[in-house]
Amino acid sequence: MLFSSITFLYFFLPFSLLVYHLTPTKLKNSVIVFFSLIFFYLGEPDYLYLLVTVASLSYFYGVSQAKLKPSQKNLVFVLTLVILFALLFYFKYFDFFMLSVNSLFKTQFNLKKIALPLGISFYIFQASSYVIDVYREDVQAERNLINYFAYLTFFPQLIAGPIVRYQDVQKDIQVKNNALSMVESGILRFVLGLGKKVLLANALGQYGQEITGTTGGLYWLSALTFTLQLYFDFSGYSDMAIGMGQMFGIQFLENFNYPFMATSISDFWRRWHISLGIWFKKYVYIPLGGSRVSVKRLIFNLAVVWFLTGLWHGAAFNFIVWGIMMWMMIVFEKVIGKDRVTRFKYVHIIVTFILIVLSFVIFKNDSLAQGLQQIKIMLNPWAFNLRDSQTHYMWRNHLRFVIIALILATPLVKNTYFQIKSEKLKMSINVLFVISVMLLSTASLVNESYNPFLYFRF
Amino acid sequence: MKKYILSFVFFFILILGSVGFYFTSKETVSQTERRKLYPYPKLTVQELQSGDYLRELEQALQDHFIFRDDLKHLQYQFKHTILGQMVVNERFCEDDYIFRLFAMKEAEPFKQSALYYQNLQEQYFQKAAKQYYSYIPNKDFYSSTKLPQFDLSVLADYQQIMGSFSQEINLDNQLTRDHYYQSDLHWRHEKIAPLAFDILQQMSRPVTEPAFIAHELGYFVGSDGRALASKKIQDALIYQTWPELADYELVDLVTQKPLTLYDTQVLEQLDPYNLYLAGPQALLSLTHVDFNPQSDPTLYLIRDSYASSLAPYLTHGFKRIILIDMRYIDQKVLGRFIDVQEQDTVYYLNALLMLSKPELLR
Repeated sequence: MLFSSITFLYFFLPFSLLVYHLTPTKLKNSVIVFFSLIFFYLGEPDYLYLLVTVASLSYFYGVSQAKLKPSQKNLVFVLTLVILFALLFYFKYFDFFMLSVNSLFKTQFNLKKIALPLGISFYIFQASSYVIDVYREDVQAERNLINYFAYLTFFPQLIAGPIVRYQDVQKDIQVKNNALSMVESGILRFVLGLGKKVLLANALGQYGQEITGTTGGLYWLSALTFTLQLYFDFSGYSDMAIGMGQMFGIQFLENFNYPFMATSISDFWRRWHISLGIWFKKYVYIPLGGSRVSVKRLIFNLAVVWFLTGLWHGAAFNFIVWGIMMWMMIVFEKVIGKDRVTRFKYVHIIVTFILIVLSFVIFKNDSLAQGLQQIKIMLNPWAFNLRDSQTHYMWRNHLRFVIIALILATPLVKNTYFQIKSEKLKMSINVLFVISVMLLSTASLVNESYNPFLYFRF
Repeated sequence: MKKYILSFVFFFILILGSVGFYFTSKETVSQTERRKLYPYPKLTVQELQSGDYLRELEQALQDHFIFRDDLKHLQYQFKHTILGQMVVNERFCEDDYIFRLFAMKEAEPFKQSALYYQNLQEQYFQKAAKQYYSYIPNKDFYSSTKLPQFDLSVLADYQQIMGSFSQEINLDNQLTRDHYYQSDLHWRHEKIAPLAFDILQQMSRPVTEPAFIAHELGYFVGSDGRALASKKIQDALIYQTWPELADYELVDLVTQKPLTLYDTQVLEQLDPYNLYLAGPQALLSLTHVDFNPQSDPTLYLIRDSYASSLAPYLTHGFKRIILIDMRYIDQKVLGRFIDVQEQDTVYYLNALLMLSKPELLR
């Protein structure tokens, strides 16, 4: 079930919120678990068992830690992680692996053709972060099964993140904060995310589908709309998750921080899908030695992180190549010291944005060769060809919207809002904003069939 | 209370939306869109398990949402006015005409359609002395807005194949946007009599124009208008008669049942364009009471919906017209219903929109 669907917006959300807030504090987490499992079952009935298995496994790992001898602890820890990642491998990467083996060794192993379970990359990463943190004693194991299930299966972040570490929400889960002020800010955040997703990302996606042709101008427009769509789609979904978390008394960490204002690729990844970046930093990069190592080792550490980041995004070579592209750009930045920008900030922002747009061409295309061919045409200024009627029409039809979307991807509107001193005016703006976005989003949902969510496929 | 005004507004909208379904749940048809609404699915374990229940429920909720038409119009205004979109829902407006964007890029679908018709003629129409073909340009062919233009070169294969067994009657230069409805993709019946007579002349069927009597049934919003939830742009639904037309009978050749040439109750139906020749039909005959099968030629009109409003005028050149829509009848069974003679004429008349979808031909 998508958050941006009539079923969720007008039935599931108000009903679950109503039941949650009418339930005594003691039972609130049970309500969360109940609605989360219903939510997951409605969207992915065949894989509910997988979610329950992952949640149970990581929960019992935590509980078992207090009862095990130190020597047994290591074994159980390794075994639990192996099972978790074996599940991820089997459901997400098995066919890709077999395809690679078949093509490398000319074998003909059969493929499983398994449908990717919804949100598997997110909840397995979340469960594994809990397992590692408990093993390292960074967090106390949760003994209450309901509390743990409320953490891992909580529907706002279950299928598309943010990837929440237990220590970041432990307090909120154990001691429920039911302040209505949190509900108010949650509503605003949720509606902001809904608007990003339905009014911007969906519309950009639709236009992206319309853009077909082989001129450089069309490829640029297509890459631009896809980059913006991906940002508004995913950050919109994260906003909705954060907003709903607040409505249910749980505060998540931020997942985006105006990534297109980044002055370097390294800076971009500190602003884009922050929770995934933190996961790789904490559980891969730092254990490998982090940055306080020799240059050679640093390059190797970064290569491991970016290979895995690419692979996390999808079981295909273009994602791996995309990860390697990111690694090369970050290594280049480290070598020339571009990561720390002091002058010409806006030039750096524009150059970084162009590089990100180009890298997403690889991300977007199913075929690597196709993506590289498109980049080649995009980099040829003579291939832009605005005289081509299709190119001219597409740019003319979409330019205003692309400019609006670009402005909304910067902190300009937010900064202007925070400069308003009158609380009364701020409240009026908030009310008007909620009414307009709810009406326009509903209008889009009842009228259009195009409503995908790009990060579901990860 | 002031502090929680946001919660109040938010939940008021959610509750209004959900309670609204109680009032709209009995509606089965959208009058403005002229289509059936998705029904609510039945809740069964099997439907739930397959995921169909949620999908079907979402479709039904989208269709039954309270104030749906107003919301659709709001969305159009938002996209057009605020976001500056010239084309919304694949439509654009120009001087109160709504055009459907149709970019012709690939030659293959047109070629496939031509091969289909070539095969059809080899099976059934080889005996006919005269064969013609025409393609009908879409309305946006005649818009002055600079959009991706038609690339008529994609029709080269289609024209070559069709030309190998029939003669082209070019309609491009005879049509203007005024021949089409403002809110619909079809032709205005009352405007295309001269076109019909020109086609007949090119088929060497000399005709004299009679005195037409125009009948206006009221106004309707066509499919293009409905796609934009436009209430402003409407079309008058007019049909024309002449004294001799009363001598023609319309029969469904599959069921052998007589049909009404102009169904004047059509405004109460889903598609007002069904006014002409009973709407979408596989096989019809329009026959004069004095038709002599031994001497009078028959016109076999291989057609789509555009021909429905044109066919009555073609009776000025033929005492019998057989209308065949290959989207609704299998090629294999066509021979059971037709018997082509040497004096007959065949006319392949199709809209480019249809020719671009050969998969629809059976």
